[in-house]
Amino acid sequence: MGFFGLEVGLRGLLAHQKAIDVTGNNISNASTEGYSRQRVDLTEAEPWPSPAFNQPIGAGQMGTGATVDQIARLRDSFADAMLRSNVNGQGFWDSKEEVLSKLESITSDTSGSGLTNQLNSFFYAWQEVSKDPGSVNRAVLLENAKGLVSFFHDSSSGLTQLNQDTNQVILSKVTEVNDISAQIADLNRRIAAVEQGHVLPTPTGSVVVREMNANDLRDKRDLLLDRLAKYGTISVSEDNVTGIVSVNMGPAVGGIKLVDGLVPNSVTTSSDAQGNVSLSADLGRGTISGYLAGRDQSLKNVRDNLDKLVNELIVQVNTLHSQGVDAAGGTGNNFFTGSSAADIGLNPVVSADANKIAAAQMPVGYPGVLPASGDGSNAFAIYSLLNKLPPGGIVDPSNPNSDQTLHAFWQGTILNLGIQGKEAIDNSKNQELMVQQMENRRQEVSGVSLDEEMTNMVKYQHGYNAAARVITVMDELLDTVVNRLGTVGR
Amino acid sequence: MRVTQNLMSNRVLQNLNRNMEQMDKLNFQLSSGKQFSKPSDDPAGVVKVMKLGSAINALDHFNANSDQAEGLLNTTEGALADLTNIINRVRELAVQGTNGTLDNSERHAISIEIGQLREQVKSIANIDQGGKYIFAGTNFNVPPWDASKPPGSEWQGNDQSIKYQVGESSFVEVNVPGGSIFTQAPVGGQSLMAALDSLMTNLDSGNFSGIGQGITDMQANLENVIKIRADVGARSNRVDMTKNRLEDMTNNLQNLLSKAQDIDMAEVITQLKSQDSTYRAALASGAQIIQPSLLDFLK
Repeated sequence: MGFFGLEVGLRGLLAHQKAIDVTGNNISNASTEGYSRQRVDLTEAEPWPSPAFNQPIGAGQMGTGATVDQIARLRDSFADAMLRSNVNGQGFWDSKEEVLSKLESITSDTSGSGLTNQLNSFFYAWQEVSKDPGSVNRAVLLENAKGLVSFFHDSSSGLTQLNQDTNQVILSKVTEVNDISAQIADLNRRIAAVEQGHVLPTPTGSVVVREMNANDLRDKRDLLLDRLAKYGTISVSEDNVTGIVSVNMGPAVGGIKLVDGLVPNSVTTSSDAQGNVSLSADLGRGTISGYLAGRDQSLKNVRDNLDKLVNELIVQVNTLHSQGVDAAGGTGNNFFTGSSAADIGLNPVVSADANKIAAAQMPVGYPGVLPASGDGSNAFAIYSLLNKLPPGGIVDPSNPNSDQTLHAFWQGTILNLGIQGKEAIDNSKNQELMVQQMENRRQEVSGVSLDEEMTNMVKYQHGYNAAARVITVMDELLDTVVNRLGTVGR
Repeated sequence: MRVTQNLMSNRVLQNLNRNMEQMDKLNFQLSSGKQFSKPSDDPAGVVKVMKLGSAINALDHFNANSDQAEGLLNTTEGALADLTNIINRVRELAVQGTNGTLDNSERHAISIEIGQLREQVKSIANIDQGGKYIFAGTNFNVPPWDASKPPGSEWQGNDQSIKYQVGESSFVEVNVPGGSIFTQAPVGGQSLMAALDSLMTNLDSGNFSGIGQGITDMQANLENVIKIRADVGARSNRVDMTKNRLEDMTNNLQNLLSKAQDIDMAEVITQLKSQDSTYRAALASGAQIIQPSLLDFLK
């Protein structure tokens, strides 16, 4: 036999050195987001001599030390898939809840300054006028009416602002999706360059042989896929030979092939006249569809209902008001102008002169006969609208049998909003818990345990020291042979 | 199960967060005294509170209306009481005037006193409350008795009644159109104003049958006023009862509102305490668990 023990020792040194390097890498990435721990797979080197026709006679094959087979990345692809198919639900409910909670603060009615109180103040001011249509009560009524109008304006512009903000957020999220898609395509290219395997035919089929694993690039790509999964429904397929992934987002029909191998595709957006953003593809359930649902369902519903209520108020008050007689004996003036929360206003004729408020009903024989100065019967009729609208007035589509008062209609709207908000909060919490569990499950496999790494380090250090000692022993053996042997009688 | 440091600290953090969230909610409830702040906290509860709030608001207005109605009715009642006294006094004077032993100047003196009482009757007819003439019907912005108008058309008021809303569908008349008291003839006599005028004339001229007619007129007017007073008193009673009922209802609704939106202090404080100790325990165990690793024990 020869002294290949030196070589064995060297292999031991190198193998342990590499193992310590990987351990060090694990430790330094212990807190890195998306990092999967790596493991050095040591394997025995090819034994000597190789089985051959003319093999020398000996006790058997000799081991030739250890080599590093591969640096493996510990990852549970099932946990990845589970996480990605659930995290989009969290994204959906989170973003919907965001829109809803802002809606709630715009329509806030619990603080005593909401629509309910504004309507009450307005209508009770009419009642005061009905009791005494004097100048004081008329002035109070005008002030309350102005308060009501500016409340509607504020609510309307609040809703418009929220709509704009939501559109902005949708745009920025779409940009992020496109950005991620480009990054994934780039990582695909780099991973393929590292991993590109060879297909070897075998009797039972072909196998892919890889030289190297692009562990750290894969971590980055998986992290991007995780992020992408929150924005919409994704399905990921990986090419076994090249390691390239393709990503579909959204349903099979109407969705988009976001990453097609090395080519990233973009989701494009367009805005309609109201500035509402729409997407070129359906991205499925996720953050973006949550914002879309918040905008197109919840927000639109509140806005529609508010406009409906305001329009009904304008029409009903105007109908009665224009039939009444004002303090100067005139008639035919509307009280409000406009038809929605955004454009409601006071008739300038009335707001400039409170005596134009038609508090009295038209007496028989008008205009020859004028109503008494204290007649407030028309004001009372207008006040009565608060609790009783004419049939066929306002109807809450979600509750067609509700008593059709302005209050009941608005309460229905708030109730609906609250239920949606509660649903979003509850679901978002549930999804968060579920995602946390899956995240933990993934951490179980991929997370770095410092105890484990320290143990490994100690182990590898000992191995390294021992291998060094083997070399020392070999050195001494050689020393004996080279320097001491055959020096008899010198 | 493989446990890593990250996993453990994540879990500690998640649990601490959950505890904090609960504490925040309880703390909000305690500091605001309310169970919820936005519809999504409790949709049905919020709508219930809105409904109760509106109902209480309406009751407040009905209550204010009944207060005002009571004030108006009391003023009317007082005016009618004065009027009763005056009519009684006029009747007494008229009875004195029938005494044949009186001479013209003495009857004239009686006539002058009745004239003064007549002025009082006019000022009663023009009584106002806060600028509203209570006997003028809905024409209450001008004094109902305008002496500058030709005789027979001095009355400026109308016969309209004024109704205040004191309940969802209950109204109370708060005025007595003064025409029925002052210028319209009651059963069995002529109207008060006209009767006073003719009584004075008859006293001055010594027309005893006229004075006798005057006594009958006063009697008729007295009955009329008493009847109206009884009606006003009945309305006043009704308003009183309504007010009591409104107060009861308001109290009831306030109770319901309080139940719907207010917290049970003792309960929330207890919950907060228990949450607090859970939080402390989580902190303590978290601190224990996160710190050590094998590193601490390797030399």
